[in-house]
This record gives sequence, C-alpha cells and structure tokens, in this order.
Amino acid sequence: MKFFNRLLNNCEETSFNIVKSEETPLSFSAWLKMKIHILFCKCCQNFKKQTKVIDEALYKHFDSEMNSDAEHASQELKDKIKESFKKG
Amino acid sequence: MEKNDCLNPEQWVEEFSDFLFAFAVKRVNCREDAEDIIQETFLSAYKGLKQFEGKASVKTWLTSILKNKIIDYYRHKSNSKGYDDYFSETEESFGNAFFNENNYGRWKPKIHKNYISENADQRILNKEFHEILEYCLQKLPPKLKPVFIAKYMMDDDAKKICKELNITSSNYWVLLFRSKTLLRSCLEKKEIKPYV
Repeated sequence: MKFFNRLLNNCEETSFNIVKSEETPLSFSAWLKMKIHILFCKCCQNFKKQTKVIDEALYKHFDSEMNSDAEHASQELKDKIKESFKKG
Repeated sequence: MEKNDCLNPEQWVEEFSDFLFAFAVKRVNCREDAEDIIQETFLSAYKGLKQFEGKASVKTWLTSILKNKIIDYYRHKSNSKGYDDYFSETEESFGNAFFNENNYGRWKPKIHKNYISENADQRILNKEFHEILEYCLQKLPPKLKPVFIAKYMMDDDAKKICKELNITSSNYWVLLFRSKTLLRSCLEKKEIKPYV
C-alpha cells in the first residue's frame, strides 16, 4: 500500500523528473514511475504541459533581439568606450 | 562592399551600443555591471578586428561577443560552495511552499488551472506575455539566474553548463527544477489567461 501511495502521491519527485527528462533520458524505473504517476495525476499533467510552454517561451525570451527600447547607453559610456580604443 | 569600409569601431559604438546595452541589462539586471560588460565587449571587438570575417553582420558578431562576456560574468559569480549554502538554507522552505511533505510530496497548491494553453505559438509572440515573464524572472532568487542564462541564452547543454558554472549535475537539475516551479507559480499568480 505504501508503495502505491508513494507512487501516486509523489508529485515532488515526478515534477522534478519531468524537468529532468526534457533534457536527458531517465533511468528506466524513474521513467516508468513518472509515466504511471502522470497518468493518474491531473496536477502533474498540467505541470508537464506548462513547463514545456515556459521552456519555449524562455528560449525565445533570452535569445531574441526583441529588446525594450527603454534602455539606452549613456553618452558618457559611449565616450568612454571610444576613449578605450585609443588606449587599447 | 569592401571589407574595410565597415570596420569602423567608433561607428559601431554609435550604432549598436544602445542595443547591446539593453540586451545586457535585461540579462544581468544591473546597469553598472551592464556598462562594464559593454565596455569589455567593444574592447574585445576592437582588439579582435582581424577575426571579424564579415560572414555575419557586425551586430550579430558583437552580440555573440557580448553573450560570452555575460557568461563570464556569471561564471565569476558562480561557485559550488555558494550553491551548497543556498540549498541548505532553502531546502525546507522550498519544499514546504509547494509540496505536502506529510503526504508523500503531493502538490500543495492545486495546479489544475489551465492558465497556459497548449497552442502556445501565438502566446509566445505576445508582448504582454513577455513583460510578465520578465517580471517573474526578476523575482527569481539570484542564485537561480546563472543556470537560466546559460541554458536559454547560450543554448548550452547540461554537461557544458555544469562545467562552466562549476556545479554538480544533481545541483543543476535541482536549480532548473526550482526555477521552473517558481516561474510557473509566478505566472499563475499574475493570472495569465489562456490564449483563445
């Protein structure tokens, strides 16, 4: 009984393995436990979907050139850089 | 175009420093540090002019130098002892915040709500979504940031990240797991509505 309880209730381990499995293969037993748990657990099904979406969004977010126009380099910085060329 | 026509670093400063600065600020969250990083980037570019073969655009070339400088910045800040301390300080509070430890580790806040829809393609392009994502990223504990930058900005794999940031692979998975759990929860709190 304890074994099944643990299998079906351990969302912490399952969600950890969901994140891990996105990048690397799990051991067979860890994989099987994850799969069985997900079958019965709506929360972890959701976590799996959402973490995948977040993953894609993050790649896009960090790599893209869509930057805010809110930030500007100060003239002082620009001058400093040009000055460093002369020394460099 | 003759190659020499475009090799004018002073012109590059005028043309690209705003872009590079904004790029850096977003990734290091500190204006002073971003300024230092930009200076180093231009100086490296200036010294390495010969390596620029004109295959990529100047902007792309400068951006790739900048990305490496940003990783360097995090590499200096990152050490395995720091992570061990962070884990021992936060292990319990993190677990308790999300999981019911008395019940084999079941999710504590029920996360049934389908606040991010599966057809996420359009959503990912949505500007508002990225603003909220930015907000939630700012809220992440600073210790989690280096892994994120290495993974998503550099597109590095786990092995390379562990080596670069000097962390064990088991720590890496925990850092990634926590980041995602916290981020997911923050997005949920900001009530991102499913895209319809």
